[in-house]
Order: sequence, then structure tokens, then C-alpha cells
Amino acid sequence: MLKSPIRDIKENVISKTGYRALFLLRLLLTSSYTREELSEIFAKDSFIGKDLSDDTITNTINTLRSAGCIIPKPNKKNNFKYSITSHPFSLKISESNAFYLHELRKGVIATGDWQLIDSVNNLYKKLAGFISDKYALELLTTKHPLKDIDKKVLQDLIIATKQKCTVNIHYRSAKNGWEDLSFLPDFIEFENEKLYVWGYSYKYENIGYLRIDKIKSVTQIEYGNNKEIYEKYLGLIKKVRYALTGLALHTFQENRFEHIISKSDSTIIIEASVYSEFNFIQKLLSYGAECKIIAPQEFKDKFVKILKSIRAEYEKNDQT
Amino acid sequence: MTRRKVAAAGLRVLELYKHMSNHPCSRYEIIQLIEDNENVSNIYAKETISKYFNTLRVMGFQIEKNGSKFYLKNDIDSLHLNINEIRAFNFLKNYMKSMVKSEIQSSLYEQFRRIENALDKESYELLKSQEAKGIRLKNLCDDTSKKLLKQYIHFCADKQQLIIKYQGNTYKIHPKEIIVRQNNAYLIAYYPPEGNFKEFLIESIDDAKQLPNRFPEKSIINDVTFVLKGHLAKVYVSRDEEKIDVNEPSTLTITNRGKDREVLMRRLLRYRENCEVKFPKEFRKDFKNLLDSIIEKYE
Repeated sequence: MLKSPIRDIKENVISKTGYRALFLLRLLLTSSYTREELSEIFAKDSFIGKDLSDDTITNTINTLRSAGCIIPKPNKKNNFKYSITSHPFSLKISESNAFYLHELRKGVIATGDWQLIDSVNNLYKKLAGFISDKYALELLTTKHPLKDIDKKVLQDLIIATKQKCTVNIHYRSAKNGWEDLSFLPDFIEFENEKLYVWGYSYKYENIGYLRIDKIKSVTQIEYGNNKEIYEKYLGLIKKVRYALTGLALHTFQENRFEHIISKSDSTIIIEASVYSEFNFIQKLLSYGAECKIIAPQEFKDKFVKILKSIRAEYEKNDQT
Repeated sequence: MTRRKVAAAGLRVLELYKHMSNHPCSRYEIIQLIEDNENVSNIYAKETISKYFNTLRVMGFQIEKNGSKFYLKNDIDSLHLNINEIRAFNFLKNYMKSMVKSEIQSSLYEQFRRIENALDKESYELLKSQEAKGIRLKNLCDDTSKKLLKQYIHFCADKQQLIIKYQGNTYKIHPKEIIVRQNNAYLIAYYPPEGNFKEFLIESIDDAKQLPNRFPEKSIINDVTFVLKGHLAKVYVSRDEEKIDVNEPSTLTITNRGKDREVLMRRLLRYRENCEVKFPKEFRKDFKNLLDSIIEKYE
């Protein structure tokens, strides 16, 4: 907010009416006052008090109104007090800038850093108070991938992933509707504009992942030995090596699950920690002919089986 | 209707405050602003502007000069941001600097300045202390990259053939557009010998020569029709460049008018046995050949 006025300044180097206008603006932004109260305050100020007249307050109020301030007339409803209900001096975010901010957020989303995305969403929520256009407001506050996520659920999951402790998750699954799942969360990951928690699923005794926007609650529970379960979970993670060539070689980016173990001009060899076979195979398929699995053999065999099965469909349909 | 009695000088100070809150101003612009104000009819000297500046300073506003422009700091708002929001703000500011479209950048630059002005003291100090530690993402558009990118944007706009050296091969192409994916810029171009579009990573293009001849504007987009079945047909969401032709209980027939067939092929691969390419025949054949070439790697 504004600092206190500087007092040791000569009168002839400032605009007195400008001073009065800013003085009154500051007063009415902090509270509401009757005419008599304003008169008293004005009289006490060393600059204004000297030239105070009956018209001073009216004049100054009108000046603020002319500049765009809404100052309702004193009446019974407002206890005969003046206040500013809106003014044009505040931060404004235009419709076009709101759109650009929304576009900027898309760049953040592309990084996959969900914590940063969450912080950007919170920042935009705070800026929402400075947007008057309804569409722009909706764009900044609701059109983002984390909008349906319960904040408390997210916080509870963050704690559970740090502590590696078993929780009960009340979850809305596509197949079974609402159900309670015992789960040991390991990490949270943002993919395809959705936030997932990965960990050990007691129901399937395997690695699983859940969409966080479908979780209603998270409760810590006592369920066996968390350390043993976590070790069991780590043992389920598969290591796969594969090679990339061509354009894929240029566009590949290391991440927490995959790192380059060797590199030449035409090929890179990557070692991947595979949590979901299905997702991993999908990724390898998207590389087309620029990818080859090196090890383990069982994974290679599975991959080739899928390719042959796709090929067989074409063979079959070509013959019919 | 009686005209409201207003202190003209007071109004000018308020208008000046309003204007400077949104834009940095030169002395000349301030004089123009006041002269343009319908409530004002006189011409004011620079000394009067100084008087108005003093009035703002007396009321606690900081006015700083940078070059020929005056900036108004300290605003009437008290926006409070926590540490994570400040980091996000810094990230966005840095990311904005990498944007190629300068008109968006300059508009956002002013908006960010206004937001900074609206911060409360605590948040402002936190912002300044965090600025040096701001998250830097791989800057696609440093000055050299920006120049390169602009060059290829011009190539696309000129609609003239281009000869490029790329990954050891020479291509004579019709550049169409630039796309940015995961911080990499790609040139999408039509390659006549193959009769389709190809994607070239711009930073991997070793050399590019523009030829004087323009390429014909006729449509060179070939539609690809494919059929989806099973669960995928029920949940599939079509892309902007796609049209759903036939929607039956267990299958979905889609026509895709996208530019890069190779990208489409890889996407269709992921649909596994739930997808079958129908037309054109050449694309169906190319798809089968792709499958064969991948299987061959393992035999």
C-alpha cells in the first residue's frame, strides 16, 4: 500500500488539488467515512487544512469520480458514508493478455513438471481478481489439466510417497465404480495432461497407477511391513535396453526412468526402468523403425509377437 | 444536467497515475496524454509535469527513469505471492523471453511488469531474491536460434523450393510450416519424390539454399482412412485434422488430412490390432512395409 506522505516538501512544487485527490483516494481505499469525518481528517493535514472550504470535499470526490472511481452517494444503507466501490488504478489483466498467459501455461505443461504447473495455477488464481472478462477468467482459472484434483488428496499423496507408507485410497474406477484400494504410493507423474500416482497395488499384487483426479480421499493405514512391500515393489520394476536411430536419436530426452548408456553419431543405447509394460511398448511402437530392443530376450519376444499380430490382421484382410 | 465541479489539476494527476500504472511514459507522451484529455484544454510545460511527479512522490509513489521513459513503482494493490508462486512467476517470465512472436512478448512483458508493481513488499523482495535462482529451461530461442527460426519461417512464407542437407542426404523440398515439440523446432515440408510430407529437425539441417522457383499451390494433402475397433473405437477422440466418416456400434472410420504421414503411421502403430489402415492403397502398403521392416530387425 502507499507510504505515508512526505511532509518536508515545499508547497509550490506539488499540485495541491492533485495531492488532495490522492490523499482522499488513499483514505477511501482503506475505509469509509462520513463527510464530517473527512472534514476532520482534511483539517488535520498540513497541506489541505490551510485551504479547507465547504466545497473542498465535494470537489475532490467529484474529481475522483471523473477519473473513474465509483463513489456512491451517502445514504441510509451505507450509513451516510463515502467509500470507493471500484476504481481504475488497480492491476488489470486484459482479455488478450489472459489468453497469452494461458498459452504460456501450455509451455509449462509441456515440461511435465506437475509441481510447477500447480504453482502456475495457484498464481493464476491469485491474478483472477484482476480480470473482468468472464471468458478470460474461466480460461485462466479452470482450463488446466489439474483442475479436478482435490488439493488435500494431492497433499496426502505427496506425504505418502515421501514416507512410502500404505494408504487406503477411495477411488472411482471405470470398471468398478467407487472402491477402496490399499496402495503403497511411490511417485507422482504427469502424463498426457493427467496426474497419476504410481506404486504397489495390494489388490493386483503388482505395480499400478491411479489417476489422481479420480481419488476422493487418502488415508494412512497399518498394513503389514511397508519396507518389505516396498522392496517387493522395487523387484517388479523391469530393466530394458533399447537402441534409437534417425530422428528419434535427436529428439530423445533423458528422464528419471531412462538414461543413455552409450552414444554414437548414428545410435544411442538407452536403459529404461519399466513400471508398466503396456505403456513402455506403446512408447517403443511410436518410434517406428527407429527403435530396436536389445535386452531382455523375453521383452523382445513379446514385442515381436505384438508386431506380428498386427501384421497378421492385414494379411487376413488382404485375403478376404 | 449540471456539470460536476472538478479540480482540473487534480484530475490530471489522477489520469497521469492511471496511465503510468499501465505503461512507462516519456515526458512527451505525458504531455500528449494531458493535452488529449477532453477535460483539459491548456498546453502544459515540462515544469508542470515535474510538479505532478512531485505530487505522486509525496504520496509515496516511486518514479524511476530508465532511458527516456518514466516508470511508476509502488502500486495501490497488495498482491501477495508465496515462494512457489514467485518461482512460477519467474519461470513464466524467463519462458516468455523465449517466445518467437515479438508482439506477444512485448504485451506480456508489460503485463508482467504491472504484476510486479502490484506485489506487496514481502513478495517483491522475495521475487528479487529468487530471480537469480530462477528455473531455466532449455532455451530454444536464444538469439542465434531465434534468427535461424525466423529464417525458416520466411522460407515457409516465401513458398519457394528449398534444397537442404540433412543427416547426410540432400532433399529438394517445399517448406510448409514450423512446429515446436518438446523444445525442438521442426520444419514440415513436402517431399515430391515420396509424395508426402516430412519432418526435419531444424538444428540438424546442415545447409539450406532457397531456389528461385515457387512450388504450385495445389492441394498436396492426401487423405488417409483408417478403421478403429474394440474399446478404442468407443473412447477415441478425433484430432483437429480428422473427420469421423462412419460411426458404428463396434467400429469407427476416420479420415485424416494431416501433413506428416510418418507421424501418422507411428501413431496408428500404437493402436495395435485395434486399427486397420484402409486407404489410400500406397499408405496401407507403406504401413505393412513399416511393420515388416521392424520385425526384420529381430530376425
